[in-house]
Amino acid sequence: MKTIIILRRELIGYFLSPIAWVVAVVSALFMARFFENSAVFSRSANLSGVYVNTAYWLVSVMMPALTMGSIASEFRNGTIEMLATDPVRDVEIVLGKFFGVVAFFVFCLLPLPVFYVLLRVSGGNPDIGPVLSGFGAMILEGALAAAIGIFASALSGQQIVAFLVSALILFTLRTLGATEGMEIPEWLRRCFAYVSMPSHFYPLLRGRIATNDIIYFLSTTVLFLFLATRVLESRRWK
Amino acid sequence: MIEARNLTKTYGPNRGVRDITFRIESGDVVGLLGPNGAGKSTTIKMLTGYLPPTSGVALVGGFDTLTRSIDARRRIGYLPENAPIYPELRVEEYLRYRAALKEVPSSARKSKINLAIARCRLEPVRKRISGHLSKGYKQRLALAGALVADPPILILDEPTVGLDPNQVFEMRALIRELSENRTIFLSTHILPEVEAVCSRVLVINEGSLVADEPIGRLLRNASGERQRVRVLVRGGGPALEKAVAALDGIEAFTAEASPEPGCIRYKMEMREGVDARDAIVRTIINSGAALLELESTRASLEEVFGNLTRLDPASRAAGAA
Repeated sequence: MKTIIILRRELIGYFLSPIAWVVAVVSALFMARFFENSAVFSRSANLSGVYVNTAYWLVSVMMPALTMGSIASEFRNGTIEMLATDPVRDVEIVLGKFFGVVAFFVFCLLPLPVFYVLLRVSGGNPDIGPVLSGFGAMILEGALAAAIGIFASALSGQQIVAFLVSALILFTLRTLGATEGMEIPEWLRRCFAYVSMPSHFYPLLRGRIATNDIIYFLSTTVLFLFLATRVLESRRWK
Repeated sequence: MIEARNLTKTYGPNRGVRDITFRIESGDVVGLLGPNGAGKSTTIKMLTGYLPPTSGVALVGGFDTLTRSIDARRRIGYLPENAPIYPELRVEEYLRYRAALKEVPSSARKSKINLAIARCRLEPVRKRISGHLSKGYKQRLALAGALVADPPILILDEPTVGLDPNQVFEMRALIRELSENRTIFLSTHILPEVEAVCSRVLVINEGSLVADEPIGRLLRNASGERQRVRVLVRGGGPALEKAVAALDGIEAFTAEASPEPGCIRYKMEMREGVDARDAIVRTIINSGAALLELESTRASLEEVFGNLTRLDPASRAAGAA
């Protein structure tokens, strides 16, 4: 499968690129700060505070930054012409890039298991269930953000535009559910709640694994990957 | 091996290519010649399956580049106009990536990569980062990438553009070497390039194919069967000019200043079927002037285009037949 070949090259690209290292280091610093806040100041013996902050701040900024070049740079380098004339399908290109950025994202999350170990050795006894389901939720949300970022990168030849588009879509999905106090019909409120990311993220964080939440993340991710593939096709068909 | 049937691509009202039809047999080396903006890249992109035609069909190795795209692509090594390289990858890493994408089995990968490196003379830079290479090496690296799976068909879009004269010479030598057991289709806007490597030429102008013939015939047709000479004379003057212009068979005669002091350059064109070179030399020498140079000149690309595009379609068809 060519997806794996492309995934491997994406990972090499990330580990060779200064911007990816900056993202990894900065997010590690931020996660350490979140951990300090929750463990030292709030004396909480679990990681949900870290997860919430990481999901909120880091995913919204780092994912657009990591993905903005994924397809835009292929157009800029002219390598898209090579990929599209080698025996590779567009969907394999998109999937390779997607799994590549998700793998790098998981690498960036590596401080989280360290925090768990720190909690244990310092005498805390965090419930492993929410720790694991929360980690899974982080990856699901990261994957969705990655799909959105790749879609935005396919749309625009300019990285900065791709960054803004994906940050905007993520922001919308994050805030759409905050409808308290708004004068809107109940059915619309429920629609917004279904589409909004946090309403599916928090139950997972609390250790409540519901199929519909997982389906929400997976189906939205697939939808954006599908759109990215179609955009990629149509861009070179012009 | 490669076939275009009524290939058409429309972008706007006046751009793109119109109704292009040709066939390239296995082992041919064919050049697509045309000025910038004539539709060369568009034609090539349709043949490689990068651009879908608005109408018409492109076949490579018998496979439609649109409906059997992957099968067609497996047979092509394509070098786009701008060398498609990843600046952060090393030369070997890039070739390993291309070999994997092109389905070279992993057992053969090493030897195929070494062969491509040797062919494109990349040995001195095989460990270097490709973004740091010179333009000539980048171009050769991209060509090595196109070649790495040893495809039966090579499609090259302006392979020597932006190279310095030495690199152009090497690139042409490489193309000739590769053409021994491959079908090659290349585009260029330089006539000598087609002469140097191709046996047949397709001429494209403003999106239409205006000629499809062996290279020798194209050049002959362009200048007709007329002889043209250029001479450099020291000590010439009005008397000599009059004598030469009066010779039988001289149709066009122009004089121009020469950078050498006391010298004049004359250009002459003879009537079809007449060879007046001997008479010209005698006339010059008898007049007491010194003949320093005499050379036969040939049609330039500008003239080839001029002739092809001035002709109306009916006489063009007659000329090609």
